[in-house]
Amino acid sequence: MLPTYSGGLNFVNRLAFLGHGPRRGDVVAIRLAGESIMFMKRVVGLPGETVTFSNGRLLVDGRPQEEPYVKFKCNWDFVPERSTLGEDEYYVVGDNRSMPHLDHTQGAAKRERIVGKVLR
Amino acid sequence: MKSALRVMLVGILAALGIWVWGYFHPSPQEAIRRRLADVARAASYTEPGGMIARAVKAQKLAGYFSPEIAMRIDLPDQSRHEAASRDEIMARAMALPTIFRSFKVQLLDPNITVGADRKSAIVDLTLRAETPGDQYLAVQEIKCTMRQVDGEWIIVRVDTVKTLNRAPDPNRRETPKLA
Repeated sequence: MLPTYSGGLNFVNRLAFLGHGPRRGDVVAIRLAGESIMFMKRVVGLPGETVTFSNGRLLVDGRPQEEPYVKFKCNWDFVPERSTLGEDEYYVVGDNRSMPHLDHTQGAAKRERIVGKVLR
Repeated sequence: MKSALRVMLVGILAALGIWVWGYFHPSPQEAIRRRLADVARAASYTEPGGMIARAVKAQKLAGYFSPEIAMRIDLPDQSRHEAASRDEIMARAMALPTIFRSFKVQLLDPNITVGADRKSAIVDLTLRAETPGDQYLAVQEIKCTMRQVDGEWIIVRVDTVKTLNRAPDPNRRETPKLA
């Protein structure tokens, strides 16, 4: 999640999504099999939306999105596998897009895997 | 006073007896947890060791898997690790110390679902493999199918779990249209 977060200790608000689901731009913690190790990613796509990347820009339902948190230029240009999200899926991606997109851990996270919102 | 002491002593002995019974007759979940800890220990090493030591350790590790193991792990770095026999696992375990001087494997957060026959189980867990100084680090969620054979739990199948599915499809690279 460089440059927004540069390692160290981060806290997660587990109550953040009790009243509503994750929102676009939220940085969330995503569990793997358990909570010993979690991904820290930003929500860029909401349930039902279609996410793609074109010439380094994020498109949601074909519309380019402003992403002030992305500081490093990238040239991502791809359509994710089955790019339209399901009813309980959120597309998550990191802020460091300077690496090739295939090396960057990203994709659709089920709502049940999202543990909470990462605090700044 | 004496009778109270007797009751206490009987209680302590009973608790000790239950603990000893539980230790030597673990539930399938507990037996699998211990087995996975053994697998992680067998796959880790702090120094390469000699050929004989490596062979013994590799053989021990292979023994935790079925002779007909079906393993396929896709790591985030796009590398794929497959094995279809104990020999392949042994060969990999023998080769690893020639690449890394030390290697640490952790099998974290096992979610164990024991089958109705209590002789098979599915375990979802997080695999963490690292070398000193994070020269190499892999974190991947995997699913292990285990079976109890002659009283011991062995791994018969290992599959990759896509924590974040619908990741970039390397076969689809067409440029989307800007709105």
